[in-house]
Amino acid sequence: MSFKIRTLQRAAVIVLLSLGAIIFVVPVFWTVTTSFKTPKEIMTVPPTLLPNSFSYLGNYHEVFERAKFGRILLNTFVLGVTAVCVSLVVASMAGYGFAKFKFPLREVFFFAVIGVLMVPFHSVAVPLFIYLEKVNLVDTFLGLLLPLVISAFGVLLMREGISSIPDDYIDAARIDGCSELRIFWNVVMPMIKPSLAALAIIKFMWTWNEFFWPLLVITTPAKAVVTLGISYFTNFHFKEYHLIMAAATLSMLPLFLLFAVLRRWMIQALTGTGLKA
Amino acid sequence: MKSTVGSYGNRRKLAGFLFVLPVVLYFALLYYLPLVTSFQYSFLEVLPKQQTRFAGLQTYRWVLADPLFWTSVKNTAVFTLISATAIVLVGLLVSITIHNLSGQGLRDVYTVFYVLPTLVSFAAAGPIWEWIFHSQFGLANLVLSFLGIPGLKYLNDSVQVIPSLSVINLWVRSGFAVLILSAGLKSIPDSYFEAAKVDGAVGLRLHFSITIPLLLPQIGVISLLEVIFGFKVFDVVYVTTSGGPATSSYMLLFYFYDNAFRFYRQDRASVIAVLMFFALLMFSILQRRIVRGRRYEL
Repeated sequence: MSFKIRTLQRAAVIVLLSLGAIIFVVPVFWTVTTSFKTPKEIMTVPPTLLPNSFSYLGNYHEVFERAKFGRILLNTFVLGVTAVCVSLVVASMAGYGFAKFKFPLREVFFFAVIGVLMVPFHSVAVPLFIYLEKVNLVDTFLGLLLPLVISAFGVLLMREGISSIPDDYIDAARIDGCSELRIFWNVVMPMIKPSLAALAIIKFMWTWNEFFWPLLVITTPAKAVVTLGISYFTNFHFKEYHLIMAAATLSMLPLFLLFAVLRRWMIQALTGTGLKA
Repeated sequence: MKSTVGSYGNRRKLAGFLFVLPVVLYFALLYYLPLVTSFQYSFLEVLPKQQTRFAGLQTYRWVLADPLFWTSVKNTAVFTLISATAIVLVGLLVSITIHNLSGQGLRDVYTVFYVLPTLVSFAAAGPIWEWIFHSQFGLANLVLSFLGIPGLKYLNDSVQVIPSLSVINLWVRSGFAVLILSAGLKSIPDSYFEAAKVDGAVGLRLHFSITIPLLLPQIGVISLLEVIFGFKVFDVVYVTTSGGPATSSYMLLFYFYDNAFRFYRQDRASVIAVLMFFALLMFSILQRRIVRGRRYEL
């Protein structure tokens, strides 16, 4: 009897968990299938579960034609990769400095870095925008990149990774006569690959999904990033959902692919941001 | 001999200093300088022709007397409260259920399902859910009609709009909570559960007396993270309702954004920036207290 109840209970749990999982995945499914439907098809009641034909690419064609979406995807990709590369180097340099050196003002500097985590970006956005206006960086790639390129989170993550390297390795290299920069590059960097991977993944994801700052600085559609690109199919009067869903699918695809390839790394990195950011 | 040791030590000090210098300069220029400027602006008054004049606390008084400011505070608070509570509950439910599944493969598959939306930007999630919430062609009302429930208006109704936005937020953010709680669950030794089971605790009682108390640090972290996040809600509102209908989803950051970039009242925007800074500083300090085992002393 008790065995039967437990089996039933277990079955109920699986059913509920699956139902929840379906609810979480359906919006993605619905977005992708809608993106293959004609404008006429999306307005049928009841809606068709699958598109009449997955070979209808008219929405994608229009998205690429009208909003220069290829250009937009490229912009976002370049932005993400640049932010990743710069922050990997600069954040690990700082992480190394904080983890393995003693120098005057170290505590002050470190507190300043932690402090950044507590400053909401919006509190600095207006003055930052005004500075950029003064140096003509509004509506430029550099202006877009600048506040997004380094995060305090990255510095803390790298410091933690480097702290776990035994000092002996570094001292040995020093006795061999390596310069400090070479020790950093040839000894420290190869030993913190997991932290570097975590930072790269998170940084790319954050930059790819960033909306607020691009909204402020970018006005030329050809310079836009993908989050802005999705909004180009919303007019004052109506929203062209067949196109929006195609644009949204394109915006989700790269991160989903990354997730498919690097699932374990990504889950680890995401868990880390929750605890540190 | 002694002097070479000394100069070697100094060289190392210099090296360490130079390693952290780029980051320190970067944050000084891109965070602290603008933060100081925000404080400055909040005490100024913007006059025509971009001139300014010292105004003391006048702008603060103006903002604090503006009904729209309080509307935005109220909306943000309601959104944050609903979102944070829902995320903690869903996170607990999902992570505990997944944790109790037998087989790593099965656990991984379910985790993937729940984490997937975490990768989606709010700029995409907004319109995706608008389409699901669509009154005529949306999935949500279709499902309701199967259940014999009349359709809802979701984002187009002044009462339903904030819960609907919370649903979108829940969809995107739950994955984080699931991951953090799962990590917490993995760190609880099995012997705790075994001991409780021997004592006769099963099912819900086991969770209320053992699992949830042991997860309190993680629950605390998630709650505060979501409160901080909810406080700063902007993207999802901007791409869906723009604060509407009327002002029923007008959020704090919308008030900020409108003042800064639509009404060109940098002074008022800066007052909000300063108020937000202090509010979030408080939350962040609390959060740092809760994150156990992470101390930043050098």
